[in-house]
Amino acid sequence: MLNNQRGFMLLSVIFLTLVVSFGAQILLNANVKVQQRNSTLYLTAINLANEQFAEIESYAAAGKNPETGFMGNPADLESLNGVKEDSVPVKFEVETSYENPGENLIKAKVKVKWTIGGRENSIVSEKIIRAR
Amino acid sequence: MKFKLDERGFVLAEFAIALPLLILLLYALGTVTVSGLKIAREQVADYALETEAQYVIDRITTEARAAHTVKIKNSDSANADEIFFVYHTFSDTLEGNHPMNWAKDILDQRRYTVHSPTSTVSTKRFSQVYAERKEDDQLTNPITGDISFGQTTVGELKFDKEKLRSKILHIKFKLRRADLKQTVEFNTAVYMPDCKKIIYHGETILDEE
Repeated sequence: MLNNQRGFMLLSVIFLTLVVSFGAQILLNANVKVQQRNSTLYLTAINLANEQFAEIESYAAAGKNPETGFMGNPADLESLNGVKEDSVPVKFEVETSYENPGENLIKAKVKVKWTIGGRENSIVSEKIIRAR
Repeated sequence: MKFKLDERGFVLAEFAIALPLLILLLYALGTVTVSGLKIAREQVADYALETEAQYVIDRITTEARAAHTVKIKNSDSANADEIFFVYHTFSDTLEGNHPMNWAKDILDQRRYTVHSPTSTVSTKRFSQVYAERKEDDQLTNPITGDISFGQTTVGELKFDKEKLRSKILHIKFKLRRADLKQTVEFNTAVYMPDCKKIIYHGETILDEE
């Protein structure tokens, strides 16, 4: 019985090894592709946060109270980065909170959120700004 | 002895099955490997594209942050503006006893423009961003375009006129792979606290000098 099975053991090993390696390679490639797209969206989000900081600084320099919502160009809240141009754009949300750590200083905390593939992602960026 | 004779026929049958199966599996493995390498190449090209786009954004925002004068006009390329900065930077004086006193505030200048040079290897012309220290027509310092995994071309470089009134430089920068398979667009802004003069396409937006 054991002698009859000896040849088939080799076949099984070859077959299983190849099938498993195909599967692993395909899954690995798909995963890297998703992560690559999300890394572009992270950069997009960081640029959006910087845009919000620029607006906050401009408001502060003019002696005005900055708002909590996004104060930059509303069109910048949608991005096609990482998708084809005819696809649905990714939408970003920007929230800002403020603290006063000292005289004439504003500590702004900007949170940028976006959802991709049903998963919510976010970055938080902080900056201390001198008010007028 | 009888047992061995039985086994010999069985090995031949097994070989007859295994060989075509192995050829089939090796072919499939080769196909998947080639496909994997192609995807890996695409990913590296995309990574290089976004890195290059962010590099341009970083350079412009760094100099805009320290800008004293900003002049924006049309570049040679459609859909792209040219921007010229006079900006604050530091230089060594080596005067005094303490290193803290060695730096002095000076002004320097930089021009970012977009141009489509004639390629030596292709009939197509790709738009590239150039960073020049002088405000003349010489183009010698491209900062986009020549990545190892494929050429890039500038899709758009625009600055928002209305935001400039609040000393905010809003940048819209779109960069494409030359094969048009991928595009990245970064929009950001930078506040220019020490800016004294802004000229936008010939119109003076700000003059505090």
